[in-house]
Amino acid sequence: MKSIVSFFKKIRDVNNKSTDRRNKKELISSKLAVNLNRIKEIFVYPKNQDFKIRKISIKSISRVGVILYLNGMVDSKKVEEHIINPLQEEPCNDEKLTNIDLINKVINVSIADEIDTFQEIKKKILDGRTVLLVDGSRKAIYMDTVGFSYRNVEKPTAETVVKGPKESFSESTQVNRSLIRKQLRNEKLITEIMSVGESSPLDISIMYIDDIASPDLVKKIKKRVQDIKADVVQNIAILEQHLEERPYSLVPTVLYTERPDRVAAFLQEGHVVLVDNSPAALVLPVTFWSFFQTAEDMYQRWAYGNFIRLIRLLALLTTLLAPAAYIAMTNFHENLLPTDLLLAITATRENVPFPVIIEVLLMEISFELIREAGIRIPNTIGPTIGIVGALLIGQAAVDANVISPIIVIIIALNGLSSFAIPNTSLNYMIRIMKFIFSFSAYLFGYLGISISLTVTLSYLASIKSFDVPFLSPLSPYYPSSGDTIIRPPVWKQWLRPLNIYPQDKQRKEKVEGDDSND
Amino acid sequence: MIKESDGKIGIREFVSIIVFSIILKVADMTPNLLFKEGMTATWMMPLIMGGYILLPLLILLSLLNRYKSKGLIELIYSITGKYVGFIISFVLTIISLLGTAVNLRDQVDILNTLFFPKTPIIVLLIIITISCYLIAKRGLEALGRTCWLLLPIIIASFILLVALALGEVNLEYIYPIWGPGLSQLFKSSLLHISIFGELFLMTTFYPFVRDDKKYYRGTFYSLFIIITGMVLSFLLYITVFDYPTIQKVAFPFQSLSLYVSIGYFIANVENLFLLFWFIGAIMRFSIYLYVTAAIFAYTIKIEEFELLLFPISLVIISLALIPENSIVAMRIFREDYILKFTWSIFIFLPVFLWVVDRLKGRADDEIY
Amino acid sequence: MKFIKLIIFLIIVLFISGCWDRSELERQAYIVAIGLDQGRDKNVEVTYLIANPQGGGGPEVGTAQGEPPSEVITLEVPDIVAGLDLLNATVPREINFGHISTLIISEKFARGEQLIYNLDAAIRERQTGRKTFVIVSKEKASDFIRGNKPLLETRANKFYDFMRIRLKKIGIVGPAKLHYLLKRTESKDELFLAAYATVAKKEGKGKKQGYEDDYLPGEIPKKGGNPTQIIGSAVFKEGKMVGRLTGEETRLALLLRPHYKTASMIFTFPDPISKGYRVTMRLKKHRDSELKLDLSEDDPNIKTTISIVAHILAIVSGNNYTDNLQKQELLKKSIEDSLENKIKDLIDKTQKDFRGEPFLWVLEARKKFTTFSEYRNYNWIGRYPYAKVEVKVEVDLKGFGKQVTPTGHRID
Repeated sequence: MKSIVSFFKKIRDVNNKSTDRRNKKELISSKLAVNLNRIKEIFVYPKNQDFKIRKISIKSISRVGVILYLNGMVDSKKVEEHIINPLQEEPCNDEKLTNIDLINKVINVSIADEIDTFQEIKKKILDGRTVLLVDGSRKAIYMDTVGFSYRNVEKPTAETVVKGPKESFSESTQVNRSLIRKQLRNEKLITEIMSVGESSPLDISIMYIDDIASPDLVKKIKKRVQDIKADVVQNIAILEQHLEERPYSLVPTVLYTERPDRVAAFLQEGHVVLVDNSPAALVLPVTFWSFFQTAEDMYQRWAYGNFIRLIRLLALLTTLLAPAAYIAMTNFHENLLPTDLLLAITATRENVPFPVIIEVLLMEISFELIREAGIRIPNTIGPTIGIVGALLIGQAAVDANVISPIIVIIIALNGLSSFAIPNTSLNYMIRIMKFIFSFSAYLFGYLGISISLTVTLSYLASIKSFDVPFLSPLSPYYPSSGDTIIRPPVWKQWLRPLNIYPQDKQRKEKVEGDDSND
Repeated sequence: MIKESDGKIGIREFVSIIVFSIILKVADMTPNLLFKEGMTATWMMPLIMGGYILLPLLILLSLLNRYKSKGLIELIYSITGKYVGFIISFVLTIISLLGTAVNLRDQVDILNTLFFPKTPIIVLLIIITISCYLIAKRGLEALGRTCWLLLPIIIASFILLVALALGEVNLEYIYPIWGPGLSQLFKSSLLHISIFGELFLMTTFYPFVRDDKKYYRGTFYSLFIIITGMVLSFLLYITVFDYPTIQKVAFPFQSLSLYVSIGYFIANVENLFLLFWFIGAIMRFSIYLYVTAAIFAYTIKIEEFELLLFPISLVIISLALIPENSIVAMRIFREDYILKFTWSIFIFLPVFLWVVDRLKGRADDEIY
Repeated sequence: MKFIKLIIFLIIVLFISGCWDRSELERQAYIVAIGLDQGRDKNVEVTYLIANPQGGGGPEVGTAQGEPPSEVITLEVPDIVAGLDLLNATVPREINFGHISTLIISEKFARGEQLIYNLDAAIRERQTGRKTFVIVSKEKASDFIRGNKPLLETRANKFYDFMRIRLKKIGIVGPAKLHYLLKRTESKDELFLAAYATVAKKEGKGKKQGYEDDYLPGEIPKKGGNPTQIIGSAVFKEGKMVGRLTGEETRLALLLRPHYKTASMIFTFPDPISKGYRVTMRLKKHRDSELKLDLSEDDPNIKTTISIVAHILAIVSGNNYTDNLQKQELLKKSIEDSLENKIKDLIDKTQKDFRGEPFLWVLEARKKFTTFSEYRNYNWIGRYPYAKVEVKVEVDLKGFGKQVTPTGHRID
């Protein structure tokens, strides 16, 4: 292990050296031609057809300038109307106008500023901004003209709800941030932008509420983002994998959500959120409960919300334990079955040539196969066909005496339950664990199950996501509103979960309510 | 008030650790041991034992309170000095080690007799020790948290068992009320006091509990839970099986779960309770393993005692293989060697420490 | 990395681990009932009733046409468990004891010394439960098991399971769990009531007049159906059968138990006005009976009061016991007298014939002692035969069914 660690360290050192070289600042000269050549070199012009250079004479200062942008990244209408037109049209004849004056007086773009290095120019252009170089000036002006195309705000696909907002994040940071701010109108909601990746940097907005989120936590997360040594971080799904502490662990420690309302709720509890041009946001730190809960639990009334939570808990346990329990019961603890059921299962198994474990694995694997195929089928009815196919295969397999009919029930129940697990990461975790549990049940029956259950729980209890214990606030206990497996009524949730170490512990004053009406 | 995880455990986790380390004795052969002595009044024995250990426990806690941020072994060292301290600590290590091994053997024998008759004992021992090692290796914090998570499940399964057995309960079986007679009851309770021995051994972790004021409270909460649980389960055993019979039942908990049924359709639920019982048992032995490693590490003054877990697991496996069968393990090792010997340690050690501390303290006072 | 290692480790363990305690369902033979007979010398003849999973009643896929629902095999072996491997000479499956719900003991064997040691062998086995239903058969247990031909239940285990549950409710046999047999043998102070049964050879020939429940098995005047009759109890003292009780005596014995409660027992009583007729009642016992013991003298003094709720089901004589309060009183009195007399006879029988009591009065007696040795020294079972017992029955007439006056009753 140590050799591997040192190997990685070496790689990191090499990387550091190369980044140092790249990060060296290169200032803009005052000669336009020189600058232009350097930029052409950077963007491999004229080979790169998307890179546009447009020369203009700036009437207001009677100088020549160049407008640089990447085709497709900018809104060309905006460039025309708000940059080119004003620059060319307004004769002012005041030769002493500086860049700043240009920004202040001529250009009609909401965001514009001066920059002075080639690195910055490169980055701004890559971000979809337009850069103006003026002859004789050591500074360039960039203007916000971002105009890539993205989807409209649509309904969430993975985290659907019956009751509650039906917007999901889209492929634009601006839109995503506005979706969050719409949900959470708080003047202390802060967006900090950091970039990740060296050759093609990705802007990541780190959002948190300043007087709630723990400063240490924010610092730690920023440091973690800074420390990412990657050439390219394509989007937030890749970023998630760079951020997590245990890459080999089955347990997810970062929440990937496509719902702005959930993000807003997490922000209010003191979590930190990362947003970029991806149709989802990352929430950290997270606990097990964030994966287990859905937005709808809170939108539905108290009783209904808790009902669906309990159903989901049942689904989680069924997914994890149903095949294992069946294997344990039929291989070790046949006494637990009612005599009639036992005889019925035995009767059907007498024609089947395989042991139970093979039956279960056969069906589990074919179910997973159908499930995976269902996602890849380029058709919306793919999944439905997949499920139906599974059941048909089950029936045919039963008729062919390959498996016994009860297996079909177990696997169908198991598959159905796995669809009720709300989060994709958690879903995968449980589905993989299911096999481990099945194996341990195969080895030692319920003893095996209880061993794997206890070891798993102790593992879950010991891991942390950004210093927050994974099963907190339940274990270790932290004061909170008790929103874990079940939730109290909304008006009783006056306390923020203290396991996130929020600065402000209360959402509101404690309400002295009367429970007698419940 | 709320700190980030700092390696210390809160009162809830601490209480659950103590409860797990003791309460599961109702599900091994301990009741069998007690029913032999206590007859129909065995259910009172935990209460009497609780009374007995209260004083030594209070003395020990007040000592720990005086020597802040010191655990049991460090306390022994600093009160009695290097040599005597080493001897006492070493004896405690041996007690803890033997206790773990014999109790583990006890559990494995139950498993072997009732659920896995064809599986070799050594395989069961290794499997259980490996899982305990894996859990103990995650540290005291994780142990505490897991116990706190599992405590409600264990309590719920116990309540389920009580509910299922309720139809079979006949409260009249507890008569004659004083069983073997009061004096005999008090005497045998005293001799079996080491059933609560873990309460003393757990003080090794005194510095790891977040708030020492809460340590007092935690200890008494856990004592309360343990005594309640024991009294209830002994009552359950006696009221279902009746006295002369319960003495002949080798594994009361498992026999009880074999005897009850869910409705008329699931006749045998003992395997279901195997699941819950063993979740508890694994936690219990993980705690034992951890405590033994900790005591030993403090005795020989090693900082990183997580490293000791593995060799100690090996030692425990080999020790657990020594007794020939469960009756030998229980009657000879547990009863004759461990119980009969250790009760005096748990009573007299705190008193001894207190006296020495007093004498030394007085001497110190005279100097200054 | 660790995870991958773990997976590899698991797979290796999976394949190297032997089969030890794992066994597939279809590789096992499930015994649902066991019969015990006296064999030669110290041996016992054990009859195993093995359920056939494919013997009907299962789902369509798993039913084999023409297979019988069970297989009955009798072996002569030293004890119940010793036959486990020998059975494999005939049955190609591992024998599973976990689903035994019934234990049938022949009367001859039950009266012998050896029974209790054989039961000990059985209960030592890991799977056999203490809740097994104990039946004593008049004939050989193997003949009983073979002769029992339930028509309503196809599966072999169903008949015994349903029978146990139903009989317990109406009280013509006692709660005959193996646990009670063992417990009462060990405590030495109580008698155990096992179910008593036979497969009647001749139909319809019974005792001349048993009325509703006063029969021993084989005496019920019945025609058709399953030849099996389970009624009354075999009385066990210290692990040996010492006598028998009819269905009615069993019911009375149960009613005498202080905490016994029942929802329904159909009794008939002689009509106090019209001789030869009988009134049919449903008796319920909801309350604990009062029981007072006086152990201060040499012979214990026992006083007990049983309160019973009665509902009139049928008045064949046509007497108006419903409207007419005087007649009601008369009926009540006669029921009480009748019950008291029957109980007196039963107690005489227990004191003289069995020299022990199945009424669990000893539990009340235990309360009088502070220590177990005092109680043991008192020797309850030795003193009970000389006890003075007073029994009082209090009947409340609660219901009359959905008719008030009997149809066509004689005009008073």
